Amino acid sequence: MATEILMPELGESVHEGTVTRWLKDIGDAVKEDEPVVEIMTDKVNTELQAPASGILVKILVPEGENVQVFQPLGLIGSESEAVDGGAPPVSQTPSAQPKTALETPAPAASPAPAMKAGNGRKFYTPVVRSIASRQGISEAELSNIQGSGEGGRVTKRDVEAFIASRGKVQHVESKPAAQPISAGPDQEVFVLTGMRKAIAEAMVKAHQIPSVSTICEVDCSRMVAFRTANKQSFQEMYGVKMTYTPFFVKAATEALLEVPQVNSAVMDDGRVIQNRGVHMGIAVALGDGSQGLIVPVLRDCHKKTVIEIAKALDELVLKARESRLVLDDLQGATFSITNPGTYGALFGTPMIPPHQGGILGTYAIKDTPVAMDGMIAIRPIMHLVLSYDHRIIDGMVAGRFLKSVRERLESFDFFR
Amino acid sequence: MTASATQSQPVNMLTAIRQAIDEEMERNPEMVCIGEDIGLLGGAFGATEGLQDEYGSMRVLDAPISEAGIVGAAIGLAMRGRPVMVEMQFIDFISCGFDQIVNNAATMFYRTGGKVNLPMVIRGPSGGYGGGGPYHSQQNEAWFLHSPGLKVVCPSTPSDAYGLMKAAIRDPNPVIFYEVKELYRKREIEEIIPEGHTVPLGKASVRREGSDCTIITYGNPVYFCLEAAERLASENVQAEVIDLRSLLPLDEEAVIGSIKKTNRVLVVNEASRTCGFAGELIARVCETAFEHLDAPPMRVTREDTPVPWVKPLELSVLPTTDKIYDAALRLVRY
Amino acid sequence: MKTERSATASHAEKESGEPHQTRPRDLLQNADLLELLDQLYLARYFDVRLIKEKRRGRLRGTLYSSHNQEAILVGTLFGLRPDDWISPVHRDMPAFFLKDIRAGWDNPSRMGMSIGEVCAQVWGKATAPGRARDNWSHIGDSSKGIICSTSMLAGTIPVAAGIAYDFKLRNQDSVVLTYNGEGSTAQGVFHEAINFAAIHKLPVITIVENNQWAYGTPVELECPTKDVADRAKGYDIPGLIADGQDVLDVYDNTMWAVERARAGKGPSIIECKTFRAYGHGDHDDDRAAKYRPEDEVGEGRRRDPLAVFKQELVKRGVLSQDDASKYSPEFKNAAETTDEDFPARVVEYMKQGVEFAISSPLPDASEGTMWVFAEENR
Repeated sequence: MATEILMPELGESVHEGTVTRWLKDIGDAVKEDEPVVEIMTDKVNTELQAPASGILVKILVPEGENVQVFQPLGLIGSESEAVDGGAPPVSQTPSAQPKTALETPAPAASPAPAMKAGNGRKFYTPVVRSIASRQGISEAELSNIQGSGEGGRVTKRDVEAFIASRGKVQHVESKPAAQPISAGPDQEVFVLTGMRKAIAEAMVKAHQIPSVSTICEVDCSRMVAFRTANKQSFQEMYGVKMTYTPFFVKAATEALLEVPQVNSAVMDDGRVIQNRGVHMGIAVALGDGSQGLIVPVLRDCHKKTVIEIAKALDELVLKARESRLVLDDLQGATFSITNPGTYGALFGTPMIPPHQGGILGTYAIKDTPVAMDGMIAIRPIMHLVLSYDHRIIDGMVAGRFLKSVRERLESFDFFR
Repeated sequence: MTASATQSQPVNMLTAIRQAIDEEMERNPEMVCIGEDIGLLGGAFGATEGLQDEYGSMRVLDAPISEAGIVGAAIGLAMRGRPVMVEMQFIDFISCGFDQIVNNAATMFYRTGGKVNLPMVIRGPSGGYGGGGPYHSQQNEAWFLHSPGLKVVCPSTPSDAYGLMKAAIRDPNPVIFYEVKELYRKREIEEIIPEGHTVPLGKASVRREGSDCTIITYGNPVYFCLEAAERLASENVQAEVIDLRSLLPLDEEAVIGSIKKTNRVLVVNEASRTCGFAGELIARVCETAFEHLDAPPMRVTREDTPVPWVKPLELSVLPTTDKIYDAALRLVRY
Repeated sequence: MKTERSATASHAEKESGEPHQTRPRDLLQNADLLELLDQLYLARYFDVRLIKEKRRGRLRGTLYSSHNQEAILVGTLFGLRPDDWISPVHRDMPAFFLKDIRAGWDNPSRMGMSIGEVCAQVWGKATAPGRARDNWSHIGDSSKGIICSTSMLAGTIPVAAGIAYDFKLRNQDSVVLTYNGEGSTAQGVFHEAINFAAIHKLPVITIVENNQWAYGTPVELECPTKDVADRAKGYDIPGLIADGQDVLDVYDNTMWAVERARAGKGPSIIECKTFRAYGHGDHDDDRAAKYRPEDEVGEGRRRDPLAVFKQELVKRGVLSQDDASKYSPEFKNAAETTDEDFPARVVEYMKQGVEFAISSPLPDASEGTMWVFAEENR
């Protein structure tokens, strides 16, 4: 009896990937946990390990082809199964199809339903479409739901059952219908794919978070002075370039420990997770930005010194730019930092990544005239913006957090 | 008959209606009843039996066969502040008074800039299934629903008829009151009507709860829908049956609320199909609850024919339990 | 034109036993007669002014001129009590302000509409009795005893019967006057209403303004009887014929029918024979519409009600020949008439109405969907 090599869910909102390379040929012996196939998704390139020991008896998705999450990529079987191409596998999870009276076949007299809508897209009833849109279910996912309605039409119950079983294995029976594309004479039309598509979907989800942004100014005199003075020696001593980001991470981490409400998040089921540790998502633009943006996670910031943070960050950014990130590098952030200041932005309102309580934006440090003790002084001022999930964080709490970050950056006590 | 009669024993719909009119006549000495054969005879069906003895021939007036004249006179009486109950011997005959209803009564409040309102009820026996033929079987509410300024009700139980009749008589606007004559004396639906029972205009009644589809109806088909719902239950389909009772004002909240729950809707009405109330209701559902629909709204109505006389012909064009059951199955299996 | 009493008219006399010894007009004082004359001038001036305004493009809707028919309106309304009701139709615009005008032209509490209200209605302003929701003659006011009519002619007669039935229930001796053309006596509801009123002896007096033409159809094609008043025979009620050009004859017949109705003897029909001066409406040919011979129009307008009444007043010595010719709008079309043809009182009164109308606001668009249903009794 063969075992399926299934396409895993490689990160939230990743619904498909591409087989880049089979590491074994048909007939090769494989050991359990031995890498067997290489997969590229919107976010990561990774190797998948064999789910069982045996012979690779069948490749279901050849190199270069797309594969849906939870779809079988290939089969691992015994010697004998290698001959006949593998016995039909037994699915690991029960089918999620609802069993209701509604499955009774329609009377012969009723006309066959039109499965195609006029625009070539597959037809879904209004309520199914509205649930899909609310729940962020993609066209591709919809098309994978087996309908219990007349002619296989997806009903509200079917889509509800799909939501309930999301995260469990679903069998993919058909490919998503192609999007219709038509361009005007001076236009070009393209479809969002890969990372861009994943970002788009993540942004839609992020947009559903009721968020508020609060802004404060930080006097960066000490930080700037420190960096100017120690830039050289820092690199020599620790082997990494000194940027401001580790200080931001450190200040934010300490503030998160001080104001833990900000280090919590509303999950899909409406429940709230309170994080004890701090795992900081760091927005990293790839290339010149045209290759998208990725948010790898700097783990255990609460256990790290600012030097350790600087080192880890350097390594993480390098991995991201060299496409070496693994799935674990992308999951589990409790809070995020974005630094548009690197390209001179004065301030903005960052969007909160799903499953996090907030995001801190650090912006351009700019010499600014400020009134101090009745006199005008020139100081390097930075805007600090906190976007936070207003469902769980109130303005007062956000203000406390922001104040804490600001004071830490201004007093700059990280090396005491 | 005394007020306690309806409270001590189950009554049929006809008695409930008669009782409501009687109580309103007693309550308001200004009120007048006018219609053909309503006094000496007590009405072709007996809906006003005994009222002339009680309130005199001036207040319970036998009118000549002149529907337009009767409605016009009722407008004059209502203009003078009197609640008026007009009986159409059969609601089919209302067409003879059509101009007075739709051009005069319906528009009066509007035309006078909100100064002259007309407290009047035009009521009459309606509906088929009794072998009445084309002129004693009509359910022509759509004509009046299409004439802004009229309220339209059609109860299906004795207590609803009683409560709505009182509300209609007290309403400051013209109300067209459809009384399903096949339900007038139906024994199975007799009920005790509690003292002081009222039913406001514009409130629907959920006659059966269900989760798989909503069947919206009113009048006689309420019972066919309930029967169909029982049969559907044996197929493990739970149909919710809503009796609108009042078509205008419409309890849109009840309708939309149920559809949000079941996502599937079937509208059943006895009137013919084209431009009927079912069509209007479905249009509203599509406008306001489109994203809740899991199947196209369906309807079972009379065919677009007159109502024929003999039974097999009559049932061939009118909604029946079988037709409703079949349509509901198609709906839930979509 | 038949202006003499016909056999039908003698029906009334038969009932009362003998010809009128004293006619209602004999009880009128000189001051009343002069007031009647001013009211005739007013009705004519109102019409003339509106025709001119309409021609200048200042008014919307259709003008149905009451020119040459003023004696009917003035004569029927002059003897009514404030508590009586009326239902004027399209050609009766002056009736709205002529009702109870004897209580004082400017008396704000009289049981008729003010000239301002009527003008505001014509100009389509928010100050119109129905806030300009329907045009021209389609106004009513229950507080002033005026039934709001529809375009469906004869449709107000059953309503009048209902109001009369209410009077009967209240033992109240008020009456209702309804106005119709001879054409609408062919409507079914005319007969349904008169039938009902006759059965219950209701105080409804139906004034038939027989101007010989129902839009483009002559009376012979609308009514089979010799006189329209003969329709009364089928209901065993008086069918009186009045000379519609003679305000005193109209007054006499009306008062006779009104007193009869107040006494509980039931309805009457009064056919007032007259002639339509212009086309049906101002959209129709002005004078010699294609369906009417020119000479017939000339003949019809030979007896201008103003001229007829002034002649009578001169004969009685109430008016000198000089005074009678001081103002002379008679025999003139609207366009040929000037303000100098009318007494200053009349011109001033109308001016007041027009100014009120012009200075009134249009109804706000937000009113369009208001007042379809009443929340409570008004």
